[in-house]
Amino acid sequence: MTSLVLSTSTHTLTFHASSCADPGGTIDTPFYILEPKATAANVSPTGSPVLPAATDLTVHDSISIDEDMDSDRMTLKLQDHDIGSIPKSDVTYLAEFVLAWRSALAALEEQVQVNQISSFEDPLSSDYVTTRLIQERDSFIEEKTVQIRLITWNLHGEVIGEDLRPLLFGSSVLSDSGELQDLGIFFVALQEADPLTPTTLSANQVTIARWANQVLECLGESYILSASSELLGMVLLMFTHKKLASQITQLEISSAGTGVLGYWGNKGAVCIRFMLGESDLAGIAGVEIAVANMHLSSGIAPQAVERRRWEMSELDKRLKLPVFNGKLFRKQRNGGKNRKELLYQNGDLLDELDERVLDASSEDDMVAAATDAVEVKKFKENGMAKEYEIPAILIVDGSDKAATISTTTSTTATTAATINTDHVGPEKDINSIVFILGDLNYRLAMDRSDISQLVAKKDYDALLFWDQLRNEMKEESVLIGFQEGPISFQPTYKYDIGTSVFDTSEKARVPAFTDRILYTTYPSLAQLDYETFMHYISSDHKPVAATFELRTMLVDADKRAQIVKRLLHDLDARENESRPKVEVEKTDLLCPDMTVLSTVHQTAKLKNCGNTQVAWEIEIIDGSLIQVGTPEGVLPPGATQTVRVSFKVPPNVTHISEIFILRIINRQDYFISITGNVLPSCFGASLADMIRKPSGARHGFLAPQTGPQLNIPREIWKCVDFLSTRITREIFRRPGDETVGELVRNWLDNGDDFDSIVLDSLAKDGNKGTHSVAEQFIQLLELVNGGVIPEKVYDIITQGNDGVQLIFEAMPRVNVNTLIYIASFLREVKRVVIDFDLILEIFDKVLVRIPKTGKNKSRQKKKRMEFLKGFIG
Amino acid sequence: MSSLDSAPSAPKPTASVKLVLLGEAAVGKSSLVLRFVSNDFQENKEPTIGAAFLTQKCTLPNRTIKFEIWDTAGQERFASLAPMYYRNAQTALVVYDLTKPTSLIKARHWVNELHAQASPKIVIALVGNKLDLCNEGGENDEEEDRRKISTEEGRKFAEEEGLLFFETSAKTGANVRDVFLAIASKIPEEVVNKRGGVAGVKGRTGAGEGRVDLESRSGENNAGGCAC
Repeated sequence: MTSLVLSTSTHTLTFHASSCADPGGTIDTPFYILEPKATAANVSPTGSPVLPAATDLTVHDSISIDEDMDSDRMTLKLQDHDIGSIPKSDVTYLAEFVLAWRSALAALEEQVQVNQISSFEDPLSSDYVTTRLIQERDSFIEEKTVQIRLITWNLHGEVIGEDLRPLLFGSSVLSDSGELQDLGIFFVALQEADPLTPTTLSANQVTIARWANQVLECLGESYILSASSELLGMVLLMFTHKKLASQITQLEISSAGTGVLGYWGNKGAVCIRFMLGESDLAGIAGVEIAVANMHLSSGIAPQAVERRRWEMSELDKRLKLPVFNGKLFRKQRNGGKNRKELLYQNGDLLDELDERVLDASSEDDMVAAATDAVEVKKFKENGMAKEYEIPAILIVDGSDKAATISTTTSTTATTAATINTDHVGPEKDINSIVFILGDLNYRLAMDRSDISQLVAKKDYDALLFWDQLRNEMKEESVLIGFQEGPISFQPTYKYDIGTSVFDTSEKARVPAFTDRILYTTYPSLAQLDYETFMHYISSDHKPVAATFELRTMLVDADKRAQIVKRLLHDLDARENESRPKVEVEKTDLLCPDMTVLSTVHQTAKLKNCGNTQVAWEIEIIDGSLIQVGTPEGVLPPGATQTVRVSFKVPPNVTHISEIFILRIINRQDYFISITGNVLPSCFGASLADMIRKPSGARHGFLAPQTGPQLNIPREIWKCVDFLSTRITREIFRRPGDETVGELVRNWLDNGDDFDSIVLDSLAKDGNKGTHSVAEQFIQLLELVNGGVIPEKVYDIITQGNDGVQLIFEAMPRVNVNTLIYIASFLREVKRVVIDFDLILEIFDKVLVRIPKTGKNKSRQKKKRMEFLKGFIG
Repeated sequence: MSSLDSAPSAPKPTASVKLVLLGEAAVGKSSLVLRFVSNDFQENKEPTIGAAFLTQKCTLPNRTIKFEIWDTAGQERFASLAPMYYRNAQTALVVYDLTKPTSLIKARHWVNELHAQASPKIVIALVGNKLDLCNEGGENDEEEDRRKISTEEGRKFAEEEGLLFFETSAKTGANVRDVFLAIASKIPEEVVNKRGGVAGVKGRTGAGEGRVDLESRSGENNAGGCAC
């Protein structure tokens, strides 16, 4: 077998061309092994010459043939390199050779492609599923309407025992049949959820849990609490329908205190932000939504308005809102003065307020501090001189939707569902919605008696004309870009607890729309309602709620899961189908009548029935006799491969049962078993057994009582008899021939006489006949079970000088006879061979059985040699 | 407080798990695999001479498991080769035939061998196959009940040894998927072999996942690492 190696930039191709003079007499398809460069050996296993630095190979580099007229072989060339030669006589072989070579080259090119495909076919490292999902996204992405319900309530530290259902569901949440919709998100924003004292350091988790449970009880099992954000009395809870929960990602909460000393959490905001419907896998961006629950400083004075502006500026910095269409406040005001500077200008008042807040035992007292009577009076004298004239333009009938009505003072409560998008147009690249709700604490800058009159007339638009928040927004001082639905309800602050009557206490607080819900515009966002609920009387504030509908693309998780499942199944099918398809002709190899010491060759035939190339290898199990010539290879589609193994039959066995693994990589391991009987043999038998089988080992035992016993085994006699007439100087010094050796073993075991004519005819071929017999003779002696000179006489030989007699007495008779017979033969050999000591060493080794415990080896060897020399004479 | 819902729309972790089938010859190991992988059944299947490799993914609520299935030959003469296949397996299906008492004895032998030789964390399922041949209580008058091993006997053995237990029919498909799903959900997270690196040529031509690690047979174990 010849091997050729070709080196490309990425791979090494080793080509094994089987010779046509195969021992089996068949011509096999030549085969090849393709290895990536990194692991390729530099020399082929058989040591064939490596093609020096072959240039990159392509499938177009085909083999050319050079016919040398003077030779019986033709030379094969590739890119002008000699790659081998084959006999001219065998044209079929040439065709096969060239064909196999071409398929090797094709496989080399395919190998590169296969590697690229393999990463695609491995779902764990590829994006096959992702890619397919995006292709099929239309089947699981649907435009859905998500309902968002927002509630804000300043609890005044009171425990609410009232049924929350009317507040949660309002006028728009439930369907006509009274069902809660599937895709809903509820936000509950509380202020002063607990009585606030100067020693309160953190939000009361008991209160929060009570609220969460109370709300969940109303919403039912299909809702879960998705997030909560809290800061002292401010609590923001987010409840999501389970079906929608998987659409909520990147949930973040934040909070910022702007109260006492500018940082305490008695005022400020808590925020929840998240992505709705974002799915990288499906390639949809989703909408970013932020909800901020604010509780700003109280008070009607201009300084209080300023303070709230400052709070907005702080919240803008500290609340981590997403980028949105608008701003919480306008940066440069009052001739370019920084808001903070402005704050410090009014620092006296604020410091005083802060001190009083720290001393205050209730929110009431804090509010009192902020709305100092003097300040209010001053404010009225300076700022409200024009009194409460309401511009004619705003005095409109509820049914008259005058186009001239400005968006920020929009009226006519009855059609609340319209959205104003004309104020700040949405910027296309901004994909977020911000909701602000809470007790923003903006007041109506008017007298209480006037408010009462307008409330009685339900002229809320007139009231709102004096609403500080509306005016701040109109001036674009705060909440720029925010919208608010039309207010069709009376001020939500301040009531006597347990009633729906405005504050009748001494302080007689001026009623105000302190509790508000605002939002930034978004193309598919619509407000359905904006309402208060007068029957809630536990707090001094009424709750305010609003419902929005957002149409957006959402992934249908169930549908997508189905598709993923199907894709994975497809992938498995593809993977399993793309596995190599092979046929192995026989997995049970039967070897009847094996002979000891002979080498048995076996083959298994492998056919690639698939349409991808197959990589195979042979795995030999530890301790197995099996030897393999070529342990691995690549088989192109349609090709057949003969896999060859061999083993040498050991002595002293009657049966062989060996298994090796023929592995089709990525598909199947075939267990190939080789079984068969081993013919009896004198090789490995004891001398005693040999003499009991006078007709040869294969002919069975002679019954003990029948016939005279031989003095020496006939096998030994035959060898010595043959050799004694053919002693040369080289006897026992030359190797025999394997085939002749096998012949000799068969003669011995069959009880046949040596065929001298056959053996002597090999005399001119280096005396092969004689050397083969000599070699088998040595092997026979070496394998004698128990040895010719057994272990038990070893000590007598090496220790004493007791003489031959004692040794003979200790040995079986057949051993003594055999030894005497061999000694007389060696005497003949000694006459011819010059350096007899070398012969003696060979016989010492095969005749004497040495115990394992032996010491002082060189001295013992000397003793053994002396014994043998003395014996031979 | 209620638990906050984490974002389950993120890509699920995918993990590969090596599964080996063991059991007496002709109990239906290959048929179980064929049913699981292709939802198919073949009468009079040829005996498996060797070990066949197939893959199948299983989707659980929080992860996807890719089974790398080694279906081994049940014939006694190949028993000495089984350690090569179960040595690095994270899970094993020990299959017996409900109509053949000797097959349960063989199953016990495999369970003992797995406890002694395989990874200590291996998840083993005991599977009594050929449920279709059991005509309990003579439900169908025309067919005799060929059951020889009671459900109780199998279950008791499984409980003693801490095994998952199923009775299946590869022919009708009864409980087959359940076996694999139960195994998948029983695989501890840390045992799962997260696949790293780029797929491609390992060692020789296109070789890789299907290979059996022979190196670790001879002594040195790769310190709990998985070689598949």
